[in-house]
Amino acid sequence: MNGHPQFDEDFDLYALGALDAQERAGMQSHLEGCIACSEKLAEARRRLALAALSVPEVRPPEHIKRRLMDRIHRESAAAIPSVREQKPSRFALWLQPAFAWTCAACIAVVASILAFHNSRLQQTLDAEHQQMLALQNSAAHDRTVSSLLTGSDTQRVLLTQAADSSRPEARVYYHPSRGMLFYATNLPLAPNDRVYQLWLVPSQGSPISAGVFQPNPKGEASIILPTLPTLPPGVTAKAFAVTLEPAGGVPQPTGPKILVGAPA
Amino acid sequence: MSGTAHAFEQESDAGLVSRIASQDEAALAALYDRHSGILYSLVRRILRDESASEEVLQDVFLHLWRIAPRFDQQRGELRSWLLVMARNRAISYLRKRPLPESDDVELYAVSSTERQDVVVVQNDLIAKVRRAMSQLPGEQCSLFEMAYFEGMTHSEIADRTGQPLGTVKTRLRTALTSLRRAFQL
Repeated sequence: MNGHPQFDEDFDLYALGALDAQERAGMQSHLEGCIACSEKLAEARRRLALAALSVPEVRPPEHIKRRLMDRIHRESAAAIPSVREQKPSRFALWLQPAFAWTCAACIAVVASILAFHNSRLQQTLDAEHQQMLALQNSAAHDRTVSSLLTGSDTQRVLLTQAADSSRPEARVYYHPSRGMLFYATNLPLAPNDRVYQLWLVPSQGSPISAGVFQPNPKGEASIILPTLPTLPPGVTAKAFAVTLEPAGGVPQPTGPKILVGAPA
Repeated sequence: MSGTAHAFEQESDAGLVSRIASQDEAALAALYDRHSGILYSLVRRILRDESASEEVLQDVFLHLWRIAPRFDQQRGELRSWLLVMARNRAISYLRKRPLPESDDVELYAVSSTERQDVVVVQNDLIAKVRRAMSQLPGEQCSLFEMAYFEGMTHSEIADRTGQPLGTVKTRLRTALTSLRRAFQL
């Protein structure tokens, strides 16, 4: 994964542990270097923790607490050194302050040198690892885009503003098994509490959400979906649309259509 | 509730964690009284085994005892953090997966939020969560429960249910979107 996850649900799915190994690894490598996304993950964890409240509450048996407190008490007692342990040993001479300080200084110098080398090696390793992941992700991304753009049976759809075809515009490259590429230009920023939501409208049934997004300051936005919901046999994509919806998106469109388009 | 627990009744979670960091066993007992019910219920729902649930519940509080000095109160609400840790440990136990090596405060970081430890607020929250879960369409609820209570991935759910992988992904996303809106607190 090169950029930030596109949808808020990606953080929920990661926190839930529902992502398969490859998707999980891609997101994990991104999270390691992105503070903003780590915060979103923490928020997703807090939110999902609430689902536990749906379980009817049962009081744990009393003996669990007793056993726990016994263990805690034993750990605390073990952590306090006994009087016997404080008696001077036959190695007391070696523990004289001057000798101890000299040893400590030597150990500190050696440790510093080792830590410095270790840190440099780790940095090099981390940088190469990040570079490798970036190249892998970039190659996968390019393959998806190339496959969609060059596929002879890819549907190419131009989406324009419902009432005025002169300004915001988007293109969809859609293939039922290869995925979908969406690219929009000249889109104004959505209001604070709103997001844009992309919909696939099947020839039968309700629209299917393909994600929510916000354009960048230049008014550009893109969504790449390597996998899509499987449509029932005989059902095709009738149209694509972008609507303006409450933050976080909605299961079915409720807001005004900003862009619509149908395959030729 | 014991006399000691009464003494800590007005103490916030943050205050109790500070005491635990100073090796105050009574503070841990009070925190146990406050949160063990929901944690035990969650773990039991996941493991469906009394003995294993006991082991995991003890492990959660033992871990809190050990890492309390490093728990940053600013990093998140304690109850959510305990729930995340309990769920992860129970799922690891269930799926026989090892716990990550860095099993510490950062791994289960949750965001800070308003305190939810007032009984009226708690009850309101529980009702809200249960309503949201009951309003999920049956199929979506079932997929969410497989992921949440059994720790299953998209592919594992698709294998078990026989649904196409893409359908599982879409339904789970839709369920999460609905829950996210309902859980905006």
